[in-house]
Amino acid sequence: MLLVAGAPELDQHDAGPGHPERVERVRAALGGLSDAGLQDAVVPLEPRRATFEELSRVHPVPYLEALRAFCEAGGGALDPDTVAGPGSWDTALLACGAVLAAVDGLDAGAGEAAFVAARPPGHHALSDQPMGFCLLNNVAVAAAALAERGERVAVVDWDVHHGNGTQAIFWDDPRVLYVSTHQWPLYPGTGALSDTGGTRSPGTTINVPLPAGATGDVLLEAFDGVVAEAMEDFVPTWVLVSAGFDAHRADPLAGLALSAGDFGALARRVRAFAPGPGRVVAVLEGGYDLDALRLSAGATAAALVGAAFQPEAPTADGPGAEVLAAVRLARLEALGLGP
Amino acid sequence: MTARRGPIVVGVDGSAHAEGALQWATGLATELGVEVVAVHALGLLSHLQGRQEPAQLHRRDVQELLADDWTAVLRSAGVDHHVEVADGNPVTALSAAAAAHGASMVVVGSRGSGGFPGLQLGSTSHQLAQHAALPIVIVPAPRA
Repeated sequence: MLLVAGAPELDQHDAGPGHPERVERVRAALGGLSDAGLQDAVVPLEPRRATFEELSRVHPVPYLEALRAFCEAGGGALDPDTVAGPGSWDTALLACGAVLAAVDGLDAGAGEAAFVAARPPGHHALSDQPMGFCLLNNVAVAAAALAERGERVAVVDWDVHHGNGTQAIFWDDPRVLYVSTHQWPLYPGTGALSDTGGTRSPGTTINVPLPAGATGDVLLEAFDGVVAEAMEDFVPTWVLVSAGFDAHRADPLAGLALSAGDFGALARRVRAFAPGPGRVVAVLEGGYDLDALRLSAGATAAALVGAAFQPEAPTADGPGAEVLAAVRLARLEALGLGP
Repeated sequence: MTARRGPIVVGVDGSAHAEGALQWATGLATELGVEVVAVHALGLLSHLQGRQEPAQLHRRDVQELLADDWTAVLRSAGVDHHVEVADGNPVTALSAAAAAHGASMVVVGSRGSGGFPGLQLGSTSHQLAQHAALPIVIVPAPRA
């Protein structure tokens, strides 16, 4: 069974006319699950709001209070990309709460995987700064909750943009492995392959910065190579996926060249990284072409429960394979195993 | 012996606000005989402005705009300068450029939006003013 969180009817986060981060994205992702024929496998999760206590594992209380007050006062532009309105605070709480509910549902044995279609996205949010459409770091809040319970959490971030917020939050935390594949150079300008974690946790950050035009085969090679090796060493007890779908070739904000079929293949790898059923949660991050988002979300969700749904063929022959050797070398050097 | 002054870092985005800031910085740079570093930050939404196109083509277009149109005032005045396109939000990009070049100050236009209370929240100029470790000059928007 697939636990699914997504409540567009409760969504009050309005980033403004023409903004690509909009509630229709949630509807598209949920529609993709129907397209994939997963209706009978879906167990809907009850919406809930994250508490200050849960959020404060990642975000300082003064930041939370300031963000809440800002939204309640009517909101506005937080940076040139990021907007909050009167309903954004509540919607952000629901997004974080959805990931926490997915973790708890799986922990209770209610499903073999979970898919969270919530917004605003989270992986750019720093502990004390909103940015890149993100207000609260949804995946980080869930990872921190799991880590506090003694779990070892792997965060796999295949959004086309580097998850600078998640990396920064767990930079020196040996309980969390952060893996990101992303286009380079691109917003937010972070995610160099030489970023491999802090002094207390060397090798627990893995960045795979890829050139524009990179195709799914390069990401799969990364997952089957250096990422799989890191997972074998780290031995995660949970896997959280920052599942942005803006690496799709149709996405208007970036230039990677993946298809929905590639996301399905990546999800199958991620499923294998988990120690067993009930330990994988995919969380929507970016993805701004609604058709591509719908297809990719469907392919991802299907793969998480072992269902066959490949609406687009996988892609190959793009650039970027040469990056992988450098990523492996950077990791080995971080672990003191370099040549 | 006097210490050599660092360059002036200016945030540039092609807007009238930024042009006003650049004009002000050009005048000061001429007087002081220092270099200007014009910085543009490519945000998430940058690639949606104008026509939709692959990100790398958009980057090239922006680099050309920055080097040609947006910094024309520097060339006209004969001020020593160079341009940089950075990824990320403007506060981070300008702060990083200032640190990398040992800048004497950062100059930005006042957009009039933002200016929110509390912590890290605010417009580019507000955030820079709150957190920068060097002088920040906020040039008022030109009057219509």
